[in-house]
Amino acid sequence: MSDVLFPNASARFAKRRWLLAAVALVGVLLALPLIYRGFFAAKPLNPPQLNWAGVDPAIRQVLETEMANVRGHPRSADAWGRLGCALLANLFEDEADSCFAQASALDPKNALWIYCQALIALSRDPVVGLPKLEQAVELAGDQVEGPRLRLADEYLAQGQPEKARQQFEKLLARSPQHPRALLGLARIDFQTGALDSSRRRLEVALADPRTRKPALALSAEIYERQHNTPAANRALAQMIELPDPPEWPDAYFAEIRKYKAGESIRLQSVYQLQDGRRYREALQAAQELVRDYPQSARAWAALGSVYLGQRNFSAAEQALRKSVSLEDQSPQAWINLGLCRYQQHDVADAATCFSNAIERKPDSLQAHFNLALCQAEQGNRNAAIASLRDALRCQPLSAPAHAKLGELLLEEKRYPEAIDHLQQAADLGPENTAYQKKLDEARKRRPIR
Amino acid sequence: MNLGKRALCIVSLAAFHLLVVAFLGCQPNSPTTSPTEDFGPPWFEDVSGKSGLNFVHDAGPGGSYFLPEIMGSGAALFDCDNDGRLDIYLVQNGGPKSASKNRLFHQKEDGTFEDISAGSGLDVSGYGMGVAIADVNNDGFPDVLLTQYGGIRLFLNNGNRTFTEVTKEAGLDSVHWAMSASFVDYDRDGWLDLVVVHYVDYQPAVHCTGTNARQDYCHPSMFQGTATSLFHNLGRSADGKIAFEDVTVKAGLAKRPAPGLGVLCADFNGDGWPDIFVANDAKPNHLWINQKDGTFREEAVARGCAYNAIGKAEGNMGIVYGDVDGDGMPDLFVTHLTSETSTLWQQGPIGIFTDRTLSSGLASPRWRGTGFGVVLADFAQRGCLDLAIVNGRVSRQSGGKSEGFDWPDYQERNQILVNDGQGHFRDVSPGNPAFCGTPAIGRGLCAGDIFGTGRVDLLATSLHGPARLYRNVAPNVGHWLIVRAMLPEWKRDAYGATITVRAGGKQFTRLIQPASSYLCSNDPRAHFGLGSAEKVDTIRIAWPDGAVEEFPGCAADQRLTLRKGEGTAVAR
Repeated sequence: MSDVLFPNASARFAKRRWLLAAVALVGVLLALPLIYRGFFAAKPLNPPQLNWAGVDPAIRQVLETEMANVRGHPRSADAWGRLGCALLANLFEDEADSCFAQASALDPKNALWIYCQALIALSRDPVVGLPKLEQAVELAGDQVEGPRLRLADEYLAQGQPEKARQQFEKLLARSPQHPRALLGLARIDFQTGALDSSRRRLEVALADPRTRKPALALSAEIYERQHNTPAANRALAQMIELPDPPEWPDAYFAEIRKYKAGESIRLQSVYQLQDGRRYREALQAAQELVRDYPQSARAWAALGSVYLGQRNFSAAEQALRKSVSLEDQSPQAWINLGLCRYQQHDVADAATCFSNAIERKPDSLQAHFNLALCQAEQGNRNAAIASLRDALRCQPLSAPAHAKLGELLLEEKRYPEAIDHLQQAADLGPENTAYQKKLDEARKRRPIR
Repeated sequence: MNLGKRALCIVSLAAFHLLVVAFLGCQPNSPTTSPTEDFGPPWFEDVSGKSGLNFVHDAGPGGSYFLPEIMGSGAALFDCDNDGRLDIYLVQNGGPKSASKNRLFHQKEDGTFEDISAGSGLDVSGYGMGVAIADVNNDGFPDVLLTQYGGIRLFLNNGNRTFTEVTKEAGLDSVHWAMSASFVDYDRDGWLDLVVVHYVDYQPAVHCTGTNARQDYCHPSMFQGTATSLFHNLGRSADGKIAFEDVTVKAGLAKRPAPGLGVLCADFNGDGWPDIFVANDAKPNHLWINQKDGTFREEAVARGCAYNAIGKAEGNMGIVYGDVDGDGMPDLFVTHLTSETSTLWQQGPIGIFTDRTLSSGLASPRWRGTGFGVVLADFAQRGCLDLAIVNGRVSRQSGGKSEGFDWPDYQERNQILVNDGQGHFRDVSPGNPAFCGTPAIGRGLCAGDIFGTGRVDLLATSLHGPARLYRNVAPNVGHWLIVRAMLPEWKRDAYGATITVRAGGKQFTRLIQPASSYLCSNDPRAHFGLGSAEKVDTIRIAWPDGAVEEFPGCAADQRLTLRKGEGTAVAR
């Protein structure tokens, strides 16, 4: 009909239909990103559901704060990223991963979120994680060196030394004496058999306390392969005297660590402060810990330990008694309680505490040794000798245990045995002149046959 | 179809394709295993039920995160009554008050096992870890050394399927957390000495937080490592008693405490004297080189086997030592954590080791696991050594479904990797469902010709699970030879001997040392896969005292017992 009334209508309609369809399709194609965003970004996911069973309340509080922040700002990449960091710091890896994915979708240019995703992926499968890490490094550029160092190490670990070399060289371009980068290049040279070059590159790393230990280890390997065993042994001898170096600083890692919370991390902090002789801060941290965890035997034990370090024996005893009343299985709490009682001149009670510690940990040098001191003070020399022998079974290289045993054996006029132990004490602790003095005395007192 | 319709079609298809890509691009990567990849017929059949091995490991109640319970327990394959068949000893970890006791299974003529634990003297309970087997008093019967959280125990074989504990009188009373142990005649006096690897100075009151901020087993770095102990066998006294002296300090081993898990005693520097390799958890390994004067020097770093290729110490656990690339020099393989790779250190030149994990194809297995027990053996008798690994986590896996404590959160699947003869491995785990298909918390793995077929069978232990016996059913296997090397003067197996067999233009080297893998003692005989070679040309044995003898060739597919003094002496 239309064809009759409108002779060109069919052709015109066909043409228009084609045009309409094309326009519609172009529209669809143009709308694809919007559709994509509609599916994946416009409706951000809710924060992940967590199973709170067994989770420290302090950790829960940190996570719930960040979750509330996400709920309040569901289109904020920063909120999602921070929640991811909090989850990752407290080892909710799967949940952290999904939050970082959300953060990256909202802000694809943020290197930290991609880096965090890379770290999670690398821990599961390094091969799968590598492209993510490359992406993070590209985004981070030279703002932070942590991701680039990690990428260089990862290339090396995955058998791509040339790519690793490029990354180390980029670090050197900014900082020509970068000890970690030079150590990395030395390792590449070592792997490719360029031993002299490797050794030359190690000079800076050997001089830097943060890289000295691994550099000495690599030096020893190089010397051994060059058949220079004396030099290898010298490097090894220096290496074993050094403590393990701290992790190389990574600003992104530090960002994640900020979110670590809970009793364990705070306990660790108390003991670190105490070890670092920052007693006032340690005490404050321990007091806050028992305030927040009043039913925690570990928290009270830590407070007792800090007081003990400050020689406040009555306060230490109070805290330690509270600790063992809550949970009596910690040998260290019993040892510390024993030390408090000993310092307060209750030797019998101290001995009981050390025996309690031994019951819970039969291989405790400290408990056996201290029990021996109590027994000796109580006039029970044979028991003390037996306890010291037990102590030496736990740790045969204890100079104080050898010395004390030697001293007691000397009192028993068991000269050869006494001299043997005093000699071992003098050998193991040459810096302690008292051992040598006692040894000389024992030799003098030994009857001449 | 006109041009317009065609264009419309193409654009629509393109749009559809874009949509598909957009959607699928967001999906997680699918597994890389091709469904059509041919893994060949399976090599192992689980015959635990058929053979009467009904042992279930007791790891304690769980949930208290007591570290010794996650370390698992091992096993031993040994002929307890000299009837020519391998028997099985399995260790429990339920604690000293537990009703679960270690069990001894005797192999009957028909290849099934009967439980002879009751009254054997070996039916003890405790926090049991590993086993080492050796004839310590040279009376012709293998004795049993048990390691535990809290010490070691020595049981002398009475020769009638019963054992007598002599720990205290033998001078082996100890309090440390003992893991793997090995017997070795380090001073060549004919009496087997004892090396015991200790783990950490554990403090049970220390709590650790793991995945999902929940309590989990602690990392060893939370505790101080402890020294490996060396006990010198003083031999039998006039009254027939055996005695050991703790020479740890004298020998120099006390200087370097570390969290040790695995041990392997062999000549690592080619001087003919046995050295001691200790796998340390998350710390550099130790290689104690025998100074031939009763002392040892630690040289792992300089010799290249302390760290991996990028200078990192890994979670070193189980150990095997064998020549994977046929160059005549044994290589070291150590199992590691799921987040790491197990590492192959190839030897060359003698005494120097290089991490070749990547180039050997071991860095990208089908799946990752925390490897403990490991065996390097020629399962299909093709003339090269393949790998079998048992896996099981030490920390709860991410995404664990259980609300509280549940053992399945620690389970993983085992692996089998086939050697191409040049030291390149291919993971064929999916083709071996019996051994690799069911997740478990794998710990010990022992190897030996259990069923007397001339093949290498496997015994696997799992934490809080059944011990499993795997019969080797690999099709089209090559020829074989099994050699038992004996020291007639001492009436025992020649631990520390190296046997080199020449056949079909190739040479194959094996070490006689049953203590390898993790917490396990293996068949003390050497098994050789000979491929198509129907006869052996020569057999050369480097005896533990340094003497070398050559024995004449023979037909393949038989078991030989070769005694020192019966071969022709040759230069080393």
